[in-house]
Amino acid sequence: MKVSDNKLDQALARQKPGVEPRPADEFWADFKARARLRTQDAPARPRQALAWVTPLACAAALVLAVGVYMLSPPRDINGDVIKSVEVVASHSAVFIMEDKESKSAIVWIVDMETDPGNGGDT
Amino acid sequence: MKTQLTAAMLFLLLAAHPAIAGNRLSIRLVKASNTEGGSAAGLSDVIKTLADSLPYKHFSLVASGTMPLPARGSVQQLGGYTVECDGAQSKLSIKVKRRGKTVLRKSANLPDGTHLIVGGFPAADGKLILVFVAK
Repeated sequence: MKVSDNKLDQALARQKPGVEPRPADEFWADFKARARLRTQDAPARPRQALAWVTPLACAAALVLAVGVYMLSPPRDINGDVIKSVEVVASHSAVFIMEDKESKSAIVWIVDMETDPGNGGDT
Repeated sequence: MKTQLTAAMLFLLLAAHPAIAGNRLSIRLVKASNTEGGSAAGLSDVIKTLADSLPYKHFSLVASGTMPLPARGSVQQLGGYTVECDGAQSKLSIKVKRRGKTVLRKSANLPDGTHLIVGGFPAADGKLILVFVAK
Protein backbone atom coordinates (compact mmCIF):
# COMPACT_ATOMS: atom_id res chain seq x y z
CA MET A 1 0.00 0.00 0.00
CA LYS A 2 1.37 3.33 -0.96
CA VAL A 3 1.18 6.06 1.57
CA SER A 4 1.35 9.62 0.48
CA ASP A 5 4.13 11.78 1.78
CA ASN A 6 1.69 13.95 3.66
CA LYS A 7 0.16 10.99 5.47
CA LEU A 8 3.54 9.59 6.29
CA ASP A 9 4.60 12.84 7.90
CA GLN A 10 1.45 12.85 9.96
CA ALA A 11 1.95 9.27 10.99
CA LEU A 12 5.52 9.93 12.06
CA ALA A 13 4.43 13.00 13.95
CA ARG A 14 2.06 10.82 15.98
CA GLN A 15 4.84 8.36 16.84
CA LYS A 16 6.08 10.13 19.94
CA PRO A 17 8.20 8.09 22.24
CA GLY A 18 6.27 6.84 25.19
CA VAL A 19 9.12 7.60 27.47
CA GLU A 20 11.36 10.61 27.46
CA PRO A 21 14.96 9.65 26.67
CA ARG A 22 17.18 9.59 29.71
CA PRO A 23 19.94 12.13 30.12
CA ALA A 24 23.17 11.14 28.44
CA ASP A 25 25.14 10.98 31.71
CA GLU A 26 22.64 8.64 33.25
CA PHE A 27 22.56 6.48 30.13
CA TRP A 28 26.35 6.08 29.98
CA ALA A 29 26.69 5.46 33.69
CA ASP A 30 24.20 2.64 33.37
CA PHE A 31 25.91 1.37 30.24
CA LYS A 32 29.31 1.26 31.96
CA ALA A 33 27.84 -0.45 34.99
CA ARG A 34 26.35 -3.14 32.78
CA ALA A 35 29.59 -3.45 30.84
CA ARG A 36 31.52 -4.09 34.03
CA LEU A 37 29.29 -7.08 34.73
CA ARG A 38 30.44 -8.83 31.55
CA THR A 39 33.89 -10.28 30.95
CA GLN A 40 35.71 -8.07 28.57
CA ASP A 41 38.25 -9.56 26.19
CA ALA A 42 41.70 -8.10 26.62
CA PRO A 43 42.83 -6.13 23.66
CA ALA A 44 44.87 -8.18 21.24
CA ARG A 45 48.61 -8.04 21.95
CA PRO A 46 50.58 -6.22 19.33
CA ARG A 47 52.51 -9.35 18.32
CA GLN A 48 53.92 -7.79 15.23
CA ALA A 49 55.49 -5.02 17.23
CA LEU A 50 57.18 -7.47 19.64
CA ALA A 51 58.23 -10.02 17.04
CA TRP A 52 61.75 -8.67 16.90
CA VAL A 53 62.34 -8.88 20.65
CA THR A 54 63.22 -12.60 20.76
CA PRO A 55 65.79 -12.62 17.95
CA LEU A 56 67.22 -9.38 19.28
CA ALA A 57 67.58 -10.93 22.74
CA CYS A 58 69.23 -14.02 21.20
CA ALA A 59 71.60 -11.86 19.21
CA ALA A 60 72.42 -9.84 22.32
CA ALA A 61 73.13 -13.03 24.24
CA LEU A 62 75.43 -14.22 21.47
CA VAL A 63 77.23 -10.90 21.34
CA LEU A 64 77.62 -11.02 25.10
CA ALA A 65 78.98 -14.57 24.96
CA VAL A 66 81.44 -13.67 22.23
CA GLY A 67 82.46 -10.55 24.13
CA VAL A 68 83.10 -12.49 27.30
CA TYR A 69 84.98 -15.08 25.27
CA MET A 70 87.14 -12.49 23.54
CA LEU A 71 87.71 -10.24 26.52
CA SER A 72 88.28 -12.92 29.11
CA PRO A 73 91.82 -12.87 30.43
CA PRO A 74 94.06 -14.99 28.25
CA ARG A 75 95.06 -18.19 29.87
CA ASP A 76 98.70 -17.31 29.52
CA ILE A 77 101.62 -17.17 31.82
CA ASN A 78 100.66 -16.55 35.40
CA GLY A 79 104.10 -16.98 36.78
CA ASP A 80 104.07 -20.69 37.28
CA VAL A 81 104.55 -22.31 33.92
CA ILE A 82 107.23 -24.51 35.39
CA LYS A 83 105.76 -26.50 38.25
CA SER A 84 108.75 -28.70 38.86
CA VAL A 85 111.97 -29.83 37.21
CA GLU A 86 114.01 -32.86 38.04
CA VAL A 87 117.15 -33.41 36.03
CA VAL A 88 118.12 -37.02 36.39
CA ALA A 89 121.13 -36.88 34.08
CA SER A 90 124.43 -35.54 35.29
CA HIS A 91 124.56 -31.73 35.20
CA SER A 92 126.08 -28.80 37.04
CA ALA A 93 123.22 -26.28 37.19
CA VAL A 94 119.67 -25.55 36.09
CA PHE A 95 118.45 -22.11 35.12
CA ILE A 96 114.77 -21.32 34.88
CA MET A 97 113.58 -18.14 33.16
CA GLU A 98 110.04 -17.04 32.51
CA ASP A 99 109.24 -14.11 30.28
CA LYS A 100 105.64 -12.96 30.35
CA GLU A 101 106.15 -10.57 27.48
CA SER A 102 107.20 -13.26 25.04
CA LYS A 103 104.99 -15.87 26.72
CA SER A 104 107.88 -18.22 27.18
CA ALA A 105 109.58 -20.20 29.88
CA ILE A 106 113.09 -21.52 29.51
CA VAL A 107 114.69 -24.35 31.43
CA TRP A 108 118.40 -24.45 30.67
CA ILE A 109 120.49 -27.30 31.97
CA VAL A 110 124.20 -26.61 32.19
CA ASP A 111 126.76 -29.29 31.43
CA MET A 112 124.14 -31.99 31.00
CA GLU A 113 125.58 -35.39 30.18
CA THR A 114 123.16 -37.80 28.60
CA ASP A 115 125.61 -40.52 27.57
CA PRO A 116 124.79 -43.96 28.93
CA GLY A 117 126.30 -44.70 32.29
CA ASN A 118 126.39 -41.10 33.38
CA GLY A 119 123.16 -41.09 35.31
CA GLY A 120 119.43 -41.49 34.81
CA ASP A 121 116.92 -44.12 35.67
CA THR A 122 114.37 -45.79 33.53
CA MET B 1 62.75 -22.77 16.53
CA LYS B 2 64.59 -19.61 17.47
CA THR B 3 65.65 -21.16 20.77
CA GLN B 4 67.00 -24.22 18.98
CA LEU B 5 68.86 -22.04 16.52
CA THR B 6 70.39 -20.04 19.34
CA ALA B 7 71.39 -23.21 21.18
CA ALA B 8 73.00 -24.55 18.01
CA MET B 9 74.94 -21.33 17.52
CA LEU B 10 76.13 -21.35 21.13
CA PHE B 11 77.18 -24.98 20.76
CA LEU B 12 79.19 -24.17 17.64
CA LEU B 13 80.76 -21.20 19.41
CA LEU B 14 81.78 -23.32 22.36
CA ALA B 15 82.90 -26.20 20.17
CA ALA B 16 85.18 -23.81 18.38
CA HIS B 17 86.83 -22.90 21.67
CA PRO B 18 90.27 -24.54 21.67
CA ALA B 19 89.98 -25.72 25.24
CA ILE B 20 86.88 -27.67 24.34
CA ALA B 21 87.69 -28.60 20.80
CA GLY B 22 90.93 -30.19 22.00
CA ASN B 23 94.39 -28.68 21.78
CA ARG B 24 97.51 -30.28 20.45
CA LEU B 25 100.98 -30.17 21.86
CA SER B 26 103.68 -29.31 19.38
CA ILE B 27 107.16 -30.52 20.22
CA ARG B 28 110.22 -29.43 18.26
CA LEU B 29 113.83 -30.47 18.62
CA VAL B 30 116.06 -27.53 17.79
CA LYS B 31 119.80 -27.39 17.43
CA ALA B 32 121.50 -24.26 18.71
CA SER B 33 125.02 -23.48 17.61
CA ASN B 34 127.40 -20.70 16.79
CA THR B 35 128.40 -22.18 13.49
CA GLU B 36 126.68 -21.60 10.20
CA GLY B 37 124.38 -24.27 8.87
CA GLY B 38 120.86 -25.51 9.11
CA SER B 39 117.66 -23.66 8.52
CA ALA B 40 115.46 -21.79 10.92
CA ALA B 41 112.40 -22.79 8.92
CA GLY B 42 109.58 -23.82 11.20
CA LEU B 43 110.88 -21.74 14.09
CA SER B 44 109.47 -18.33 13.19
CA ASP B 45 107.29 -18.20 16.29
CA VAL B 46 110.12 -18.86 18.70
CA ILE B 47 113.33 -17.80 16.97
CA LYS B 48 113.36 -14.34 18.54
CA THR B 49 112.93 -15.72 22.04
CA LEU B 50 115.71 -18.20 21.44
CA ALA B 51 118.06 -15.63 19.95
CA ASP B 52 117.36 -13.10 22.69
CA SER B 53 117.70 -15.52 25.57
CA LEU B 54 120.42 -17.98 24.65
CA PRO B 55 124.10 -17.49 23.79
CA TYR B 56 123.78 -18.98 20.32
CA LYS B 57 123.53 -17.37 16.92
CA HIS B 58 122.03 -20.11 14.79
CA PHE B 59 119.01 -22.27 15.37
CA SER B 60 117.77 -25.06 13.14
CA LEU B 61 114.87 -27.46 13.32
CA VAL B 62 116.03 -31.05 13.75
CA ALA B 63 112.73 -32.84 14.21
CA SER B 64 109.15 -32.13 15.22
CA GLY B 65 105.97 -33.86 16.21
CA THR B 66 102.59 -33.31 17.80
CA MET B 67 100.33 -35.11 20.22
CA PRO B 68 96.76 -34.53 21.41
CA LEU B 69 95.99 -32.89 24.72
CA PRO B 70 95.32 -33.96 27.33
CA ALA B 71 98.21 -36.34 26.84
CA ARG B 72 97.75 -39.90 28.00
CA GLY B 73 101.22 -41.29 28.06
CA SER B 74 101.79 -40.10 24.52
CA VAL B 75 105.26 -40.62 23.13
CA GLN B 76 107.19 -38.75 20.49
CA GLN B 77 110.55 -39.77 19.10
CA LEU B 78 112.61 -36.72 18.21
CA GLY B 79 116.15 -37.29 17.07
CA GLY B 80 117.71 -39.52 19.65
CA TYR B 81 115.30 -38.44 22.36
CA THR B 82 111.99 -39.86 23.49
CA VAL B 83 109.49 -37.39 24.88
CA GLU B 84 106.70 -38.86 26.95
CA CYS B 85 103.82 -36.64 28.07
CA ASP B 86 100.94 -37.25 30.39
CA GLY B 87 98.14 -35.16 31.83
CA ALA B 88 96.18 -32.05 31.08
CA GLN B 89 97.57 -28.86 29.65
CA SER B 90 97.46 -27.16 33.05
CA LYS B 91 99.48 -29.88 34.71
CA LEU B 92 101.49 -31.53 32.00
CA SER B 93 103.98 -34.13 33.06
CA ILE B 94 106.90 -34.41 30.66
CA LYS B 95 109.60 -37.05 30.69
CA VAL B 96 112.59 -36.95 28.36
CA LYS B 97 114.50 -40.14 27.76
CA ARG B 98 117.73 -40.85 26.00
CA ARG B 99 118.42 -44.42 24.95
CA GLY B 100 115.73 -45.71 27.28
CA LYS B 101 116.96 -43.82 30.30
CA THR B 102 115.18 -40.85 31.82
CA VAL B 103 117.31 -37.74 31.74
CA LEU B 104 114.71 -35.18 32.72
CA ARG B 105 111.30 -35.00 34.36
CA LYS B 106 109.23 -31.90 34.69
CA SER B 107 105.73 -30.73 35.35
CA ALA B 108 104.40 -27.61 33.70
CA ASN B 109 101.34 -25.49 33.28
CA LEU B 110 101.33 -24.80 29.57
CA PRO B 111 98.73 -22.21 28.55
CA ASP B 112 97.86 -21.76 24.89
CA GLY B 113 100.67 -20.24 22.88
CA THR B 114 103.21 -20.33 25.67
CA HIS B 115 106.60 -21.65 24.65
CA LEU B 116 108.24 -24.03 27.05
CA ILE B 117 111.87 -24.25 26.07
CA VAL B 118 114.02 -26.92 27.60
CA GLY B 119 117.63 -26.86 26.51
CA GLY B 120 121.13 -27.92 27.23
CA PHE B 121 121.05 -31.39 25.76
CA PRO B 122 124.52 -32.15 24.40
CA ALA B 123 125.12 -31.98 20.67
CA ALA B 124 128.10 -31.59 18.40
CA ASP B 125 128.97 -27.91 17.99
CA GLY B 126 126.18 -26.73 20.21
CA LYS B 127 123.16 -27.81 22.24
CA LEU B 128 119.83 -29.38 21.58
CA ILE B 129 116.63 -27.71 22.69
CA LEU B 130 113.09 -29.00 23.05
CA VAL B 131 110.35 -26.46 22.37
CA PHE B 132 106.84 -27.28 23.60
CA VAL B 133 103.79 -25.26 22.53
CA ALA B 134 100.14 -26.03 23.15
CA LYS B 135 97.72 -24.64 20.58
